[in-house]
This record gives sequence, C-alpha cells and structure tokens, in this order.
Amino acid sequence: MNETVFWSRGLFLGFLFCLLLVADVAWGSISIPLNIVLSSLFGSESSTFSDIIWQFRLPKAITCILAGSALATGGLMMQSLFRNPLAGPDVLGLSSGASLAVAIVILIGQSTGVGSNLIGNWSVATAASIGGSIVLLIVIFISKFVKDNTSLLIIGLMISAATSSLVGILQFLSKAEDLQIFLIWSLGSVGSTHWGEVQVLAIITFIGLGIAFFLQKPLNVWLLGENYATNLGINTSRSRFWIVIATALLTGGVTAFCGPIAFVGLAVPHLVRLIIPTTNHKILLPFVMVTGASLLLFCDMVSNLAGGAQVLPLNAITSLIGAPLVISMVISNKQVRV
Amino acid sequence: MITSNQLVVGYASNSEESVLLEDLNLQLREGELVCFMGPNGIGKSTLLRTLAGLQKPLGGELKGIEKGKLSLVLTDRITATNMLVYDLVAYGRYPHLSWNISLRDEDHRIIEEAIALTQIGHLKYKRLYQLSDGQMQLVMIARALAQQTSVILLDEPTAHLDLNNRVEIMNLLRKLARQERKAILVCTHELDLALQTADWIWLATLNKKVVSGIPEDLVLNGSFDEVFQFKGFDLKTGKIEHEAHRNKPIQLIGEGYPYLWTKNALARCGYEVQEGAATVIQIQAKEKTIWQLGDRQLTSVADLIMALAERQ
Repeated sequence: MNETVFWSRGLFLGFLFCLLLVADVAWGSISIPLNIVLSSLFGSESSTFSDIIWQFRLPKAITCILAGSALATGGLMMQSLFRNPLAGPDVLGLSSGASLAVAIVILIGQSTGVGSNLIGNWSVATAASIGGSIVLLIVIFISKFVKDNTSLLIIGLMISAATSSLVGILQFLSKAEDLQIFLIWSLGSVGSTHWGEVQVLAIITFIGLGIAFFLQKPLNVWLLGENYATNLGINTSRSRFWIVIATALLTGGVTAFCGPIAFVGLAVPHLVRLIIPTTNHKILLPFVMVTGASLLLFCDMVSNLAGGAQVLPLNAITSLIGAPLVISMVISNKQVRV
Repeated sequence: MITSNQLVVGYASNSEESVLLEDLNLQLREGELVCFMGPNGIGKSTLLRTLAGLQKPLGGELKGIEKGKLSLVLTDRITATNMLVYDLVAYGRYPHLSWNISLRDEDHRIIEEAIALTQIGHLKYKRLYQLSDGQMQLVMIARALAQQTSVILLDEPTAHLDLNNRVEIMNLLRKLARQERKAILVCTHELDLALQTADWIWLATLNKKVVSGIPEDLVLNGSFDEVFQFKGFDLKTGKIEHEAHRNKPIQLIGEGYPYLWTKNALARCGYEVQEGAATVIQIQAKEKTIWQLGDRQLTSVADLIMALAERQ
C-alpha cells in the first residue's frame, strides 16, 4: 500500500472520529444545537444545555472513547499473541471473573441485605476489578507452567466457562428484581459514569495503552510464533507476561465501569486490517485505538437515538451494528486473516 | 564453526528423559553445506532445535554458538498471511532494532541485498497468501539472510515442493555457503539432491548415533543402505531394481541417451539386457531415432515394447 492511500485513510478516520464525537455529544433524547455544543465546550455558555453536556454527555462520550480504544487494543493483542482471528480481550476469562464478582455483590449482597445501600457504581467497579484481578493472577500463575500460547488460550476459555456457570447458578437462585439489576449491568453501559469514574478509567486505560505501545516489537514477532520469536531475540515469557498484563488492565478497567461490552474487541482489529492491510503493530495500534473509539461512539449514539426516550442496551447495539459490518467486509474481501 | 562434544539430545519431561540421539561429535564449518538425513521421527528436528537454542541438550556440550549468530528456517507455518513479503524479510533485522522498530537506511539496504540474493525482487510487495510454496521458502530464506548470521539452520526447506523448486532451493543454499561463507545445515529427505549438492552429510542411524562424512563415502561404505533399508532401490546405481520376470534376454545395440532410456524401459518391462542374446534390437540415430527389431522398424519406445509383447 502506498503512502498517500495510507495517510488519506488515516486522515479520513481521524475526521470521522471528530465528527462522531461532536455528534454523540449533540444527539440524544434531547438534541442540542451544534453551535451551543461548541460554545459550551470552548466558550462560557452556561445553560441547561451546557449542564447536560458537562455533567452527562461529555463524560459518556469520553467513556466511549476510552472503552472503545481499550477493548479494541486488548482484542488486537490477544489475536496477535494467540495468532487466532477469533480471540478477543475476553479470552483470558477476565470479563467472566469480573461478572462473577459483580454477580456475587448484586445477587448475594442484595438478598442478604449486607450491601443493599452499597450497590453504587464504585462497589460494582471494585467488585469487577477484584474478580478480574483474581482471574488474571490465576492465568499468570498457570502460564508459568504451560509452555505454549494455545494451552494458555484453552485455560482462559475453561476459566471463562467455569465462572460463567457459577454466574448461571447464582442467577438461578436469585430474586427477579436482583436478577434484573445484574442483567442490566451485563448488557453494558457507558452512560452511568461521572467525572470521578472517568478519571480512574482514563488512568487505567492510558497505562494499558502505553504498555501496548511499547510492546509493538514483540507483538509483531509473536505473529511468527514462539520459535521464530525466540530466535529473533525476544524474551518470550517476559513479553507474554506484559501482553497479558496490558490486556488485563484494558479489559478489566472497562468491564469494571461499563460492564462486559461485547464484540468491539473482536471486530475492530478485523475492520482495521481490512481498511489498512498491514500486519505491523506500529501502524495497527493507533488505527485500532481510533477505530475502536469511533465504533463505540457510533454505537452509543444509536443506542440513545433508536429507543426514543429509552436507552437501548449497548451490547445489543455493538453486535447488531458490528456483525453485519464485519460480515459484509469479510465477504467482499474473501478471507479473514490475523 | 559449531562443534558438539558428546552431545545428547531428546526430550525431558517431569520424571523421565527420552534420548533421541547421543554421543554426537559433529562439526559445522563455514562455507559448507551439510545435509542432515535420516528416517522420520529419529530426532533430526530435535537436534536442529537444540543447536538453535530452542531446547536444552540432555548432555554433552556445544561450542561456537554465539547469541544472535544463528538464523532459522523452520517448518512452522506463518499464519499471518496478510503480511507483505518485504515486511517478513524485514523481521530479519529485528534483533538489531530497538523497541520502536524503525528501520534505518542500513537495514533497508541489507533487506534489499537478501531479496536480491534469493531473486525474489518481483515478489517484494506481494502478500504471503499470494505466494506458492516454493516462493514462500525463498522468502523465509531471505528473512534468515537479512539476519546476517554466520550459521543458517533449515528444517526440510524442500518438503512439498516440485522437483524444479527443490533443485532451485538446494542450489541457492550451496551458493550461499560458497559465496557468502555461511555454515548451512539442512534437514532433508531428498536423498538424490543431497548426494549431489551436499559438502558433508550427517546421517542419523538407527542406534541413536549420527554418522558423518562426504556423500560418496557414505554410499560406498553402505551407511545409507543400513539406515534407510532400501526396499528395491539400489543406491549405488541410483536405480530401482527390476526382476527380469519374462525370462527373455535381449541384445541391445546403440549408444547415448537413446540406449540408456531404451535399456531403462526394457528393464522396467521385465526384459534382461544381455550380450549375445537371440533377440536383437538395434538403435539407429538418424534424423529420427529408429529401433530395428528383426525386420520391423519402430519409431518410439512404446511401439518397440508393444512389438516385443506381440512376439511372445
């Protein structure tokens, strides 16, 4: 691919991203005129509109950007490490671990009355982080004993399956109203974050993305497999450790604050490879971040607009929009490759 | 030069060691092409992986392997088939690059050199899924060259290739050994090609040893026969043995290639070629080759064989 095509597609994506950001802030159950959006953001507008923007729309949009780029980057790293186009950020079992912890807090905490006043964003986020971290520690511990990535992948999937079934048991045993709270969490949401939470999510995401950025060389080399990676001077166990840590931070942070958001992590790397056909992570990483952010902004906009006054669940929208998009691109390109 | 001293290779699991090859005293010298041969599953890849540092030896010692001075062409498939050929060759420079993998002019020059040596310039901007198996091997060899190592180890680089590609790869490897003064070790099953191109042969024997020598010596002293236990193939003549089941000796008169190939056809069809036999075939090389059988003149070997069959 020549340089001009590359740059023009990059610029187009950047432009699309800015457009979606403004549109996501402007449109919702109440539409805000564009000039007021801009003057609220950059000027000294103070009105109900600017309150909506600063207190609600902007934190939500920034959460979209952080979550989208984090999940997409996590997915890219997993696909490259495991050389498997079906891998996503959740293959390590982190989201399932987080789900289990949140299920325990909501379903057991609620019914025993222990946590009836505590079911706020922070307690859910804390539970999700603890659950995700425990699974991460288990995965890292096991990865010391297994030599190859395929075993690690299988172990991650098995942990997912086991924790999911525990969640199933909890759901089976719990009351209908608790179940609904948990169900809503598990459908994913970017709308419930305030500035405090956005700050924490931003710090976690930036650390994860930063590590990912420094991993571009091992990520490229992992595409050739373990033997060539060793021969090319990569410390395989160390780089695998850091790839797992970065993915865990990115996925865990997002799951803690937004719930398990499906599809973005799996689909965005494929979309980017179809737009920019390269296998070099130096190029893939920034493109995947911007595309992930854009896709989630778009999905959030649709989930706010399509339901009228009601906000539709984010997971339904990401899959509904993403699946046909990827299917059509795959059909027109004949084959999906890592 | 790589030297092994009483080297033992194999696999060690938690409780037990399984030794594949032992007492290995081998040398790999610069400027030489060594073909490593032996039946499947005898431990060729294991020795290669041990030399490459991908697994630890079970015993003995290895000398002369410097870190980063050895490159590999393995049988591992590259699954990222969307990759550009140039990018794959560029991987050879990775040991020399920092974390942000920016290629300097020097690196681009070395990559271009490797591409030129393997004559894959026309493939530079193709993607891996567009390549044939033979082209893919050339690209992998170019990648190893871009690593600029003194030693290259290759595991069955000619597997699944057609004859032409096999010859091309082996000739290229020999050229690289001669011109670039590399030490090259190739695991291969290509007996005939190895005998004609290798400077040196390592032959894994059935009692866990490796015999080494120049190809001709190993043919003459019967080492190959012992290891491969040929069934109906005579290595010294390079031919398949045929049984003269028709019991009809034939005298063949002629010269050159027509003589050789006619003899080949007769042997294959169960006739014995014998001096002074009653049946005589005379080959006349004029504008066209003509086979004279009794009073019949035949224009192809197929017609000749048919005519012989009719006589019976």
